[in-house]
Amino acid sequence: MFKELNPLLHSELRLAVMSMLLSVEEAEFTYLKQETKATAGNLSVQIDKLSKAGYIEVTKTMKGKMPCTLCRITPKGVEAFEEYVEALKTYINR
Amino acid sequence: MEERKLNEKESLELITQMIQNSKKNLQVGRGNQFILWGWLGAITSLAVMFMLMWTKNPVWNWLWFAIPVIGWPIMMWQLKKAEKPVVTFTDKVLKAVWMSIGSVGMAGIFLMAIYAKNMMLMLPGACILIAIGVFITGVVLDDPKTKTSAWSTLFVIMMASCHIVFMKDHFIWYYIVFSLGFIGMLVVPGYHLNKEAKKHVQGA
Repeated sequence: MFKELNPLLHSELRLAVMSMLLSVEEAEFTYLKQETKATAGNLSVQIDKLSKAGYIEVTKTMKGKMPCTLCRITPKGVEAFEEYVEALKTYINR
Repeated sequence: MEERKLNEKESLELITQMIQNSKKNLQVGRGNQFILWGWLGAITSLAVMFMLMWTKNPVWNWLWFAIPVIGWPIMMWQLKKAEKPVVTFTDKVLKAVWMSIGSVGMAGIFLMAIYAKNMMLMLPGACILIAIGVFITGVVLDDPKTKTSAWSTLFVIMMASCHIVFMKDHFIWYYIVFSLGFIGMLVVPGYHLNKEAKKHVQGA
């Protein structure tokens, strides 16, 4: 029986962001942009969606005189990611 | 990268690739702080030795405090300069380990300066703390050379200081042994970690 894949995570950019945040404590917006090669606008929209779902926590701060956006995964996000991977396994092992 | 739906295989590939990407390029310059504190300790040790030999005045032992006084601002500057756009769990663990070791070390030096009749225990005590810190760093980074460097140097220092104290050998050797100890325990692993990080980045 196939499990349903979380539509919020089953998108290239959002899944990339969640995968990166899973393996670090926190990451800056610029780092996520550089690693995903996404545009700032698109990445911003996807981060906002993940944040509204409670999967990631976004903190706006200052780095010297420059604004800096920090992202970190929440326990709810980790749980959702684990469920997503479990669901993926049911498709792969069919 | 866009907002597009993936098939199951692509999803797994993307997860693997992103996790690997976030692990590379993050260790550059990790050895710089070891190098800083190592050279500072080694040079201060020799400076204290020369001043004691020259003046015969034990007040020159206060020169040990040059290590935190000079090292702290340089370390803060180094950390600010090397600020990374991402913080890993490894960074968090190592920061906690070295903050604990630094606090215990500073508290120990102050207590000794106030209560101890002589500072003979200060250097072996500091070396044990540093060896523990370097060893834990080696464990966390999974680097066998760093672990070996910490314990082998500590062993040599302890043997040498026991020899100097019990055989009542020339006391001046005490400072030379610890100067070499700082180099073996901090400077050598520092350069090694930087070399490994460079290799890691080039290979990534």
